[in-house]
Amino acid sequence: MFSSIAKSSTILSRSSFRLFLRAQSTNALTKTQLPFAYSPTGPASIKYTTQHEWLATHSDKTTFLGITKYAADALGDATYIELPEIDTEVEAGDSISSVESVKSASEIYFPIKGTVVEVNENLIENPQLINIDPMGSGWIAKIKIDDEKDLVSKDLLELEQYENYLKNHTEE
Amino acid sequence: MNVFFRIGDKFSDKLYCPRLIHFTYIHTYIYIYINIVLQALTLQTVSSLIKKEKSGPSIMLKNYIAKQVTSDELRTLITCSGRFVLHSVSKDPYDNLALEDYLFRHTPLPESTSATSVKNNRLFLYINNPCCVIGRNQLLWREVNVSRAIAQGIPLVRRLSGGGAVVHDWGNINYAHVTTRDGFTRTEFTTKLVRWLVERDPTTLYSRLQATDRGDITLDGTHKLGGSAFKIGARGRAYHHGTLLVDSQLDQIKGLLQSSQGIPGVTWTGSGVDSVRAHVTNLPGSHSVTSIWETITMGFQRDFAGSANNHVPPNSSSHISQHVPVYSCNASKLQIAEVQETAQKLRSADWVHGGGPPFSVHFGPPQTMPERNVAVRHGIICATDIVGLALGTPFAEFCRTSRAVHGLGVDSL
Repeated sequence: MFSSIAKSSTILSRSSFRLFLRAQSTNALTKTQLPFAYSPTGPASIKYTTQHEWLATHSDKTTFLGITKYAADALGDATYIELPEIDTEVEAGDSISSVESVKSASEIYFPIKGTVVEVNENLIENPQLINIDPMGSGWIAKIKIDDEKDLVSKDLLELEQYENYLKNHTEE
Repeated sequence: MNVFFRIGDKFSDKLYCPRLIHFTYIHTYIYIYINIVLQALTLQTVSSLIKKEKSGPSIMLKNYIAKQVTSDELRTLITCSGRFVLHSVSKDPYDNLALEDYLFRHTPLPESTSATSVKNNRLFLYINNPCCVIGRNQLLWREVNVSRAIAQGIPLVRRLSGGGAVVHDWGNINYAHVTTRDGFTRTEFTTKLVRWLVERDPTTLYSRLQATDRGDITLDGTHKLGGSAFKIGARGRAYHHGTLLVDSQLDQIKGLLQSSQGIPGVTWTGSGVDSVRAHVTNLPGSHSVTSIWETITMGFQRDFAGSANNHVPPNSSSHISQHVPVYSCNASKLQIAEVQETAQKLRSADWVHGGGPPFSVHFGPPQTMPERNVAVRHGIICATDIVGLALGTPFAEFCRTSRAVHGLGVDSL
């Protein structure tokens, strides 16, 4: 299931391709949607986890959380998204949500400390938004993080690193 | 006394099995012997014997011995590297699911994270007492005839994994295959399971069993022998668990799940997960639960052998495979705080009734005119136009009395 994708990520690793990749990768944020367009200049930082979550952090510490295109494709049609309660204080590594698809309940983690300020209520009626636009309108939660310094961690990957991770960790 | 109970166990196993035709003379003598002894026993002993018979069949392994482990030994086994098979002798669905969750959360990931590295695959087998089990994100009352289940003393269970509603009994084997998230597929385990079953009985089963893309096992493409559900998470781990109907009392299962037509006058709205209805059947051929349990255990030992990490206990009596040891424990007697806490959570009304998504139920003709509505969040009524129904009432409590008080019901009688 997880092995079927990542075909779009065959041309990575060479730095000259990086800009090209940023424009082409299906795991890049959708620029027209709120997670990117929340601030006029776009997010200050976009990070990925090896558990296939993305975090888009804006300059006011507002961070959008979602799952990558790779994960959404691997999971298949989403039937239900369990959303966190607003005002929940999240500890680093807490499971704050889950996505159900074809009988799988997949836990969604938030890797740093923060407080949930908003959830994407569109997902309640339209869980398939996760499949249609996981990197944009299918965002899961908006979380105010405690400290931007927490974003500097070897476990939080840049897009290139994430694509490389996919290349090395999925069976063809 | 011990010897007697062993006979009693064996006997109840046979009694439970519908194939009474295979009763031998020896069994008849045992039956007579038990009758004579029964008459001589005190009332207290009789009731304890009945209790024993009511606890369902015991798995009496013939081909190997599963090493019994203590709570401490089990904790070490689970948290250290290595593949193994674990049997639970408990038939409590909450305790078994709690142990399964512990196994899932504490199985170590492979040291190397490359796709080809050896994983700590584990197989957990258990049988539950009769119970109704629903998926994590389902509306309990839409799936299960709750009043009938309560009347029959059948426990209601909400799983931690996704998927639909299913009824368990002693003729059904539950398996859980714990593996890693990377490279996880919905069909890996069921494909193997189908092969083990066909190899065991090719005459009856060849080309009839199929592992479907949804992780189910079907017979002749029309009937389901078992369902599946999955959990992905816990830092890179995943499990696939499912059921295999071997010798279930299928006629008794039927009325416990709501019919696909629903209840006249009742309309549900909510974003929960619907069950996919299927015709079910037992595994064809003459197979006891014990023998299929052994087939699954030995199939796993064979297909998952060859890991250098495996810890082989010095006194292992397993002679089938020294590579994948078999352990046995009682999930209801473990002194592992996390297992006990999870079991307590799974038993709580907060989880069983209050879990799952918010929903609304609409009552219309032929039940009522004018129409009535109830909105429920976390199992608690948060909005309604039914006069005399207080906000904050648990929906479970409303359902218990709604027919008598309001003339409304969510279950068929």
